[in-house]
Amino acid sequence: MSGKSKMKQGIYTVIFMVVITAICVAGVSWLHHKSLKKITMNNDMFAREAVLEAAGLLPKNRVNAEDISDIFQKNVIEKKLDDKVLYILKNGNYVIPVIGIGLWGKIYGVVGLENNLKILTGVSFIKNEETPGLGARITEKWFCRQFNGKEGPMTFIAEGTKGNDREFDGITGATITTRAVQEMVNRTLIDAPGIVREVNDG
Amino acid sequence: MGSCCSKKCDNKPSMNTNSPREIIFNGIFKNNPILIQVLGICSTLAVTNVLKNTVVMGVALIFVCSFSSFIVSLLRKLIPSRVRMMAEILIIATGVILVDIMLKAHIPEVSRELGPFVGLIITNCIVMGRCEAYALGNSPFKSMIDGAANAVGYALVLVVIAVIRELLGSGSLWGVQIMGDWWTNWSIMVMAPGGFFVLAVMLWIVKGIFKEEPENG
Repeated sequence: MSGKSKMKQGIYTVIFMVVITAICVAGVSWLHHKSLKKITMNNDMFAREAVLEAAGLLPKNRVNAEDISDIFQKNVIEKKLDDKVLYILKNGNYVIPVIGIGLWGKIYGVVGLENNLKILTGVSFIKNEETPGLGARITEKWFCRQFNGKEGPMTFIAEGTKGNDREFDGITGATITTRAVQEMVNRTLIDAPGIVREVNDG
Repeated sequence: MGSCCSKKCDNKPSMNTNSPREIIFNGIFKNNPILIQVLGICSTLAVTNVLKNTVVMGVALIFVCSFSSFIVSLLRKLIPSRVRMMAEILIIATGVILVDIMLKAHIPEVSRELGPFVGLIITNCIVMGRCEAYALGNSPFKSMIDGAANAVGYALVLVVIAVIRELLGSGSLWGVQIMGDWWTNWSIMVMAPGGFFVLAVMLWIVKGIFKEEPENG
C-alpha cells in the first residue's frame, strides 16, 4: 500500500469515528433532555412516598403519583437549612432524612419520629444499592413497619424472632445492611433534637 | 469480564445463508449463548436471584442486541476494520443508555432495583459477540433476527435459573410468596454462589443430554 492511500484510509477512519460518535452523543443527549423532567419527578415521588411511609400517612392500598403528592402537600411542610432537610408534619411529628453506609453503597432513608423525638413512627428507604433478594429486602413493608411505635435505641435480632420494644428483626444473609439500618435509626434518634432546633431557629 | 469474552474469538465473521427460521432455532437452542457458547455469564449470575429483575434484564437485552446487530450490519461496509470494535461498542453503549433512560422515565420502580445492572449490558459478551460473529457479515434484517434470537435464548435460560433461585432462596416468585411457613429460605441461592451452582447443574444436564460431537475438536 502506498503512503498516500494509507494516509487517506487513516483520515477516513478518523472522520468515521468522529461522525458516528457525534450521532450517538446527539441521540443520547436528546433523549436525556426529553426525559429529564420525568426522571426528576419520579425521584421526587420516591422521596415523598418514603416520607409519607415513615410518617405513617401512606394508605395501605396502592396509590398513584397524584395521590402521593396530594397527601404530601396536605400534611407535610418541607424545611431546608443549608444542606439539611427536615419534614414537619401538620400533626406535630417529624421525618428526618438520613444516609447510611450499606454493603455496596449509600443507603438513603427517612426516619419518622413523634413530637417528643423519642418514639419512631416509621422508617422508609428512598434509594439503596444493596443485593437484590438480600439486603434490598429492607424496602419490604414488613421490615419497615416493624419500627412503628418503638422506642430506641434499637438492636437487631435474628429474622423471625419476636423482639421487645427496643429490638427489630434483621435480615438473614444481610447482616451488614441490617447493621447499617440499625446505625441509621439510632444516629437519627440521637441527632434529632439538634436538627429540629437548628432548622426551627434558622 | 475478560475470561468470558475470550470465547467469541473462535467465531470468525462468516457468510451464513441461513433462513430466518434456522437463525432463530440456532440462536435459541442449537447455539444457545449461555448453555452452548457460554457467553454472558457475568450478568447471568448477577441478576437471576429475583425473577422480576431477570425478565426486565432479558427484555432489555433483546432490545439492545437486535438494535446493535441491526445498526452494525447497516454500517458494516462503512466501518473501517481497524476500529470496528470501537464502533461496535459505541453503538451498543448508545442502545444501552437509551434503554436505561427509558426505564428511569417510564418504569422507575424496576429501574431503581436494576440500577447498575442495566449499564452492565454494555459489557455483555453476547451483544458484541453477535455483532462480531454475525452482523459484520450479514444483511441487517438477518442480523437483527440473529441478535434477537440469541437474546431470547439468553433470556429463557435466565428465567429458568431465576425461577429456581427465587423459589428456593426467597420462597416466592415475582415477589409473591409461594412457599408456606414451613419453608426455610436457602439464603445461598440468593447470593452469587447459588447462581454458580444452578448454572453449573444446568450446563451439566444440557451437555449430558445434547452432546453431539466430542469435546476436543
